[in-house]
Amino acid sequence: MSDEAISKESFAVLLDRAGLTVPEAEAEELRAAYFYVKEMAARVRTPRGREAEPAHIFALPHPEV
Amino acid sequence: MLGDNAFPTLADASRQLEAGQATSAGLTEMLLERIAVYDGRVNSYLLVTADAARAEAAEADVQIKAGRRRGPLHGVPVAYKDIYETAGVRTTGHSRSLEGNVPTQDAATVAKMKAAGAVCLGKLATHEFAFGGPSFDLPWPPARNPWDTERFTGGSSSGTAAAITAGLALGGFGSDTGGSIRLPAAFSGLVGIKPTYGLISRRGVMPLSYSLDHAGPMAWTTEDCALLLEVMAGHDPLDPGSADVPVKPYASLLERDIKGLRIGVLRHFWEEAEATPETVAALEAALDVYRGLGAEIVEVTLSPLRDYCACCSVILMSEAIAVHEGVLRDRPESLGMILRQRLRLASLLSAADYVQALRRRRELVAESAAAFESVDLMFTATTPAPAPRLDDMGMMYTFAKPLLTMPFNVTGAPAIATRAGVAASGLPLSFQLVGRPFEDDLVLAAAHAYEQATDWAAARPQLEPMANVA
Repeated sequence: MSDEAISKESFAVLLDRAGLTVPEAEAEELRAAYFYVKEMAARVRTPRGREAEPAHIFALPHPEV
Repeated sequence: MLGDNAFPTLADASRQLEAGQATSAGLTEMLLERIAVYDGRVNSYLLVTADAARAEAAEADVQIKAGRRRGPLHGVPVAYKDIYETAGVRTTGHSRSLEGNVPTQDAATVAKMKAAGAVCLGKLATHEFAFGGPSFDLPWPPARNPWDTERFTGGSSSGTAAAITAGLALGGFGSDTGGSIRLPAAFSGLVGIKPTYGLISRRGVMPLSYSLDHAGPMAWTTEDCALLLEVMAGHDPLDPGSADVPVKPYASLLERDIKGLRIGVLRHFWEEAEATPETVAALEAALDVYRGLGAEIVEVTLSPLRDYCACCSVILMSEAIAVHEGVLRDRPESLGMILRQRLRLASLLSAADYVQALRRRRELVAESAAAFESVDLMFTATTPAPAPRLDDMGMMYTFAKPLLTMPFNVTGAPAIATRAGVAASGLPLSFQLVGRPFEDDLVLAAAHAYEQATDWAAARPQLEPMANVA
């Protein structure tokens, strides 16, 4: 994965999509840190079949027997 | 009775109360006096409930004297991280956004402690909502490390660590989502256990990440933690994550023989975290102690530490923004800058990122369970180095280096941090022991065995009284 910082323009799109209005200096700090988010999001994507379930599943209460 | 290091451990105080050698009123007054003299050095308390504490202590003394002692915690003074809701007592999460918040109900754990007769001294500093800190732009300053007040306590249970280390409470309560009990315990030379997920109710403890949050005790010794855990643990049908399992008598199980236990060493974790040579030397010395106690030491390899940390962080951030997106959108100025920025960063994760992290979590939990088929406990560092300087803690420090504590939030396994000696700087070092789910008793017993075989618990930090400062 590239460790190049995301461009200002692309990062502005991400902030906008998230509904965030951020002062420029704070946006720059976030842009520099965004590398960590990309790196983490890449790491949780291991090769796995589509049947691999998440850790948290939906379960209804068991009926009384 | 200030006497710099004359205060007892929680367990000693309990025994003194039982034997009639101390009173709850006396212990409480001694601690309130110490808070008045020393807390200005470490900023551990956001609120001291002195009058209520005196009243609770007086009531405890009456009951104990009348032969109605409820148990080992009756009359023992403790304090709570300020994310534990306390009925009628301000609970802020160390955040301006909740500066005037007064809950009407106690957290389930606080209610249990009250029922056990413990005395509440007050509410303790935390990182803002257990996520943003150390911060200097909040209504209260960050806690400071009693071993060196220019140093970080670790977080987020920062005030709990500082108060116990400085002798301003005999025990306390923290929460641990990525290491927030164990990291401050390590940097402050304490014992802190993140119990098995579901063993302690989270109801009434402000959430950060529903599936990673653990409430737990912090104290000077393992025995102290066992006594606290025994009261805190138990099924709560009103907490969807609570496990319906029996509570074990943790304190009376401490003395079990650990001869023949197989301890798996996660050496690659501390290598990946770039542990300092003196940390590694302390870890190896601790393993020698366990060998001497008859344990068998073997190597264990799991996925890279960074894989566990990525999984933990993506889940933590995704759930945290779900908790806090309203205030971030509507009143961002009511949050400190560190929390605001971390939540903004969390907003940039996608739904797919979250679900992929949950799928990864299932894989990592299975991997850990498989490793536990051949060992009884796992052993690794708690931190790669002693406490850093407080002013070195950047806004994004939690992302820059992998945290050795996060893997066990992912797996939900019980993990204890305990002191492993002292660095050349005089700051404490620490290791973690990790057990199978719901084998918290074994984790405590193994930590206790090490503690009994070493004398690291003897040293207390010396603080300058506030009154002596020009």
